[in-house]
Amino acid sequence: MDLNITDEQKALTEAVSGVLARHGNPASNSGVSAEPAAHDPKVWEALVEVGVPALPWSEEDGGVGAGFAELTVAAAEVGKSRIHLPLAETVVAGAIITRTAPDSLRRELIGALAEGSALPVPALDEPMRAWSPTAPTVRAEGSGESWTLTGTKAPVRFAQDATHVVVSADTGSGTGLFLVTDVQAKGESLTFEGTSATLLADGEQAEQALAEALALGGAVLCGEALGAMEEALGRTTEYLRTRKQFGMPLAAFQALTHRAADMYAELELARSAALFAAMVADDDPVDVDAIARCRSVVDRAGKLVGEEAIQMHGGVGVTAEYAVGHLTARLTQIARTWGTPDDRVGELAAAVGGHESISLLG
Amino acid sequence: MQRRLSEEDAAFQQKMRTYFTDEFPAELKEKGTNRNDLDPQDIRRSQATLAEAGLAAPGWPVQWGGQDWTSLQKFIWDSEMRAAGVPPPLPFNTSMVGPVIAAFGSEELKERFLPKTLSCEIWWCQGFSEPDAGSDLASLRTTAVKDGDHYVVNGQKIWTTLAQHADWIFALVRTDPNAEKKQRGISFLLIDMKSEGITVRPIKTLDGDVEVNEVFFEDVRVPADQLVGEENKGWDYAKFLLGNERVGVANVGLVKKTLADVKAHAREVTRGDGTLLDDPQVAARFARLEADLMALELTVIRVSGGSKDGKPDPASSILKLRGSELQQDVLELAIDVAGPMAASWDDSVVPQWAADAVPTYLNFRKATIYGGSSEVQRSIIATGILGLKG
Repeated sequence: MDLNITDEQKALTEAVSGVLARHGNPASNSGVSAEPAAHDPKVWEALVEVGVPALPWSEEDGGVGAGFAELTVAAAEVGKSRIHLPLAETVVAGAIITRTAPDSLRRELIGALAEGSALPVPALDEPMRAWSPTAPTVRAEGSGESWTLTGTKAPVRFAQDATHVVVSADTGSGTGLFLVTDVQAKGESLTFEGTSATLLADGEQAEQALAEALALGGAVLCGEALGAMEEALGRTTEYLRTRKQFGMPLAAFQALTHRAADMYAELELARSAALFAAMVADDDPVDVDAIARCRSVVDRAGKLVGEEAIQMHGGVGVTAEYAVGHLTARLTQIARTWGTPDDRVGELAAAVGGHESISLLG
Repeated sequence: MQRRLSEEDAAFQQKMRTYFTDEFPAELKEKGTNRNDLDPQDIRRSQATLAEAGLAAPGWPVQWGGQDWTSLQKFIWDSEMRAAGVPPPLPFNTSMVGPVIAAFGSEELKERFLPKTLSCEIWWCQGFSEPDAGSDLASLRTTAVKDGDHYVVNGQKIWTTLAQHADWIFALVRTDPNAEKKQRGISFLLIDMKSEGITVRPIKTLDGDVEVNEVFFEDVRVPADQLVGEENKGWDYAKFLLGNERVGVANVGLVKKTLADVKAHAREVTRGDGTLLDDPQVAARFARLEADLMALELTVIRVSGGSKDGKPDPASSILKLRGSELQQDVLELAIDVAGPMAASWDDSVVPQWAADAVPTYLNFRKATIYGGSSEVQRSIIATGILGLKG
């Protein structure tokens, strides 16, 4: 096992951070709130040019076949940049497609995603419904090649710019996964009124594909959270060194420096977890619980680092013009994407009786 | 990044597993699983057996019985040894004084001490802390005054673990009381515990055990050739030693084994129609600890840690800080799994593991104190890594 970053991966991080710095416009620069931002096609296009969205997909499908280790280090740069991009979302949608769509559709869609002409995202959440990957209330009716969907999915991140959505719906005999190409979004809400859809998978196959796809998206989120935490800690230590109160720098106060040390310890544990999640994501089949375990570590680290970063900055930390709070906002959202921290612990708890201990060395 | 073990490492893992499960004496392993059963002779025998197999101190220079292994292989060695329930080598010997002698001692000292340190023919104890020098270790006051070809040592050490069994002590002593910085006047001295003028007084801890001691020195004459390295450079050697100690005490192998044992007990304890492990809240505690342990274990693999080029790697502080906390969390869970049984420390009333739960938990409150307290580790991270200086 080797958890070190390769030279190629380092070169990739530099390319990605360069692109994000040139084309990105983080919310804090214009002083807008930390509300989840809409899709920014210009940055996405620049990222496509560096090849980032193509990284995890096989060459046969139109990707570059690099894998999740590469995607994770790229995602960390996105996390640092404070720019919201549909990286994890396209991974979930793409992973469902690669697992369930017929060959021609799969190649067409993954190829288009890799070259930036398609933006597929998942539509799984519903209003007033706690997170669950299965048992949706959106109804699917039909058979064979002819299906229609009825009901509402919201919020659906990046729905307004999505070209395709992968929708979970109740087929009457379980959960089905459907592809919708006629995306009519109102904000981040999608209402289906007999909308025609293509069945990708149902029953056990759908549940398995969804679980694996969400784990892969989760691995990408771990990478993004890692970058956001690094940035938040870096800004916080810089602030502690330079900000003066009572005639001395904040770094003179042990009450603060020891908490910064705890942030660092959590960040390093989260780094290990994020890198491991990337390795697990490249396995087939994907160990879904292992990634949930990694996310759980990152959840806790993100909360500590994000909250402490704001606290140690004082009032400026909660202002819209300052970067730190935006990082915290993103970390908060990441931890609630496709389940809450409690949901993940609950899933792991349900499986805890199935093994004596966790073995890392495969 | 690479998840799978290489063919070579997989073969290495298999070799370790075969040795520890099939070849290492079974009677020592059975005893090793219960902290009260192992007597000092067993610990010596166990380490001598490991030394003979070349498995007592892989981190040492090859010339002195170490192995030319990668940090991942050392990790595999430790994991397999712990998983099999093999009593590990004495940390005072293999992680603490051995590497210091190997790095800073004269050839004479190495030849005189390293083989016996490896085989545990000499059992070492650590003479660092003093009543007025805890976290502020450099304030130590035990003096060593040169008298011809001897040092005369006077003073007191405290918290000396297993001094009652030790043959020798490695001690930090003040050789220059007038040094400009207190750190500059300290030397690293090897002292025979049978020397005239040494008194060991046991300290009973909350669990009823005697593990730590006070060691008094009264005009103890120590041959000057038992000084390690140079006079007044002892502080540098001590920092090197503590850097190594911190990595060792992350103890993921031991914590993993303990957590697996606690889980096995949770499967045996009934609750309603099922077992305690079926209780979602109890299961969630296991799930969280397994995730924490995974992250710690990965971090041990990632930052090989340890002292490099004579200097401690500040990343080792993370391992000490989080490893000790995690160990305590696991031992607290053991109490809750024992539940009402934990109220008895008597193994004729409740199973031994349940009787041991509270005393072991109390004993291991030490883990966040020894080897540099959690507060000291946070200061090392804040200044050494984050550059936060007032």
